[in-house]
Amino acid sequence: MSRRQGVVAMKDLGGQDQDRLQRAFGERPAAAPPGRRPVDPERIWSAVRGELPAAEARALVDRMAMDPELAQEWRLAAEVSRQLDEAAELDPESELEPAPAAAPGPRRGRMWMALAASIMSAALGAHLLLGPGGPGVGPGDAGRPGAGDGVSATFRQAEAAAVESLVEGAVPRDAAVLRWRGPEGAVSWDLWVSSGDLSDLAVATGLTVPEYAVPAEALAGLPSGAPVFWRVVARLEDGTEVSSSFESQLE
Amino acid sequence: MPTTPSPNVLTFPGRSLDAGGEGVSEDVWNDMRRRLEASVRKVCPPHLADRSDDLVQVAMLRVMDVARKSEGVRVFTSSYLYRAAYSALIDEIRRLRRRQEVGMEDEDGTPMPLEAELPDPERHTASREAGQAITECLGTLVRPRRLAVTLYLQGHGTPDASGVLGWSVKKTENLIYRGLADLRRCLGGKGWSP
Repeated sequence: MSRRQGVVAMKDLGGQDQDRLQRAFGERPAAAPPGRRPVDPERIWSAVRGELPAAEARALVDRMAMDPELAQEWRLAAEVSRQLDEAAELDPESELEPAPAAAPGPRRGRMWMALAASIMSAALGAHLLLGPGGPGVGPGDAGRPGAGDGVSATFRQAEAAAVESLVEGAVPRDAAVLRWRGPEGAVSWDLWVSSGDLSDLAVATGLTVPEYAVPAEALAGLPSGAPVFWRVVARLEDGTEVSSSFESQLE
Repeated sequence: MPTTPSPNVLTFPGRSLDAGGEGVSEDVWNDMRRRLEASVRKVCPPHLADRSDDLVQVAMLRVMDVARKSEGVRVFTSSYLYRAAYSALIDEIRRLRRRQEVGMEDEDGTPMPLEAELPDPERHTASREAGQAITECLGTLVRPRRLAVTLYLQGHGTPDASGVLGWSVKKTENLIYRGLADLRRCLGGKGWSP
């Protein structure tokens, strides 16, 4: 295909100048750069909702520029988020804020019945389509806290009772101990540590004390002052999870 | 001998749920399901959009399964459920991608369509090349402009982008403006004219 044909094709994408750019950007084939781990969807959702620390969100956007697969997943998050907001506007009485551990109760029973009724008819078809295996956790998700635990990994939220960082100031390279507190009722924690370009530096699961010493060799490739993102997923007594993200700097 | 579920228990493949009580309306669930399907159809490429019903079904099954496990402890709100459903959707989409990568067949024996196998292959090729050119040019932009322009290309307005990036609206607007100018210049240098 000639450049001219390409130009025509871009013009054929319709709309204004910017619309064509957006369209062409959106139609990049969804192939992730080789060797990159998929990003935790929870992280994408948090960024889209403005709930991620700005530096981490910037790192995510930077990766998205070069990663069409991530860009596609981001667009889905943005659209689902928009739908959520629209639903909230249409039904302001619905519960739209995260609810902390709360009243058990009769309210859920009918909710599940409704969900059950709505999905039973197609459950078999979906099962056939996507296979009998478990949740879609693949090799790329292996380092994701909670991965392999199905959607429970997604049942994390920033609640009033969230994880609180106890790290103050820059983290020493040879004694990079990350400490945190809470939330109340947490029985174990998973930790995901990544660099400024979102590459994994360390993953620790099933921690029973709220701290972790990042091995010095994991930080060896980072320059002084480099950002270190870390995400703590706390597992509560009731089996649900709460997560928080933090940014520290390497000394 | 098969057992008959009691009237207040709904049985799913491999699971059952208590179905008593009242509270959150059925409409909330049905509305959420419709919205998720609409989202997939709107922003996903055809080979995924065509499967929006099934993708959403699986996602909702998984959300329900986890929610069931914490029964009696927690009330799940809409924002919570949408978040979880999104994560489950992404897991399923990735799973589907992996199946395509290894050339798996659908349940009826039909090869699953690859992204390249879209109608109008010439247009698709042109679009792919244009997208590649944009990606390369984005790589040449200074980082703040690249970030602002990337969000712009993803359809975010200036206030939205400002919120995500943690910069003022004015700064973000300026970065988008200058970044788009850089991008056009770069594309022009490559022979592309958006």
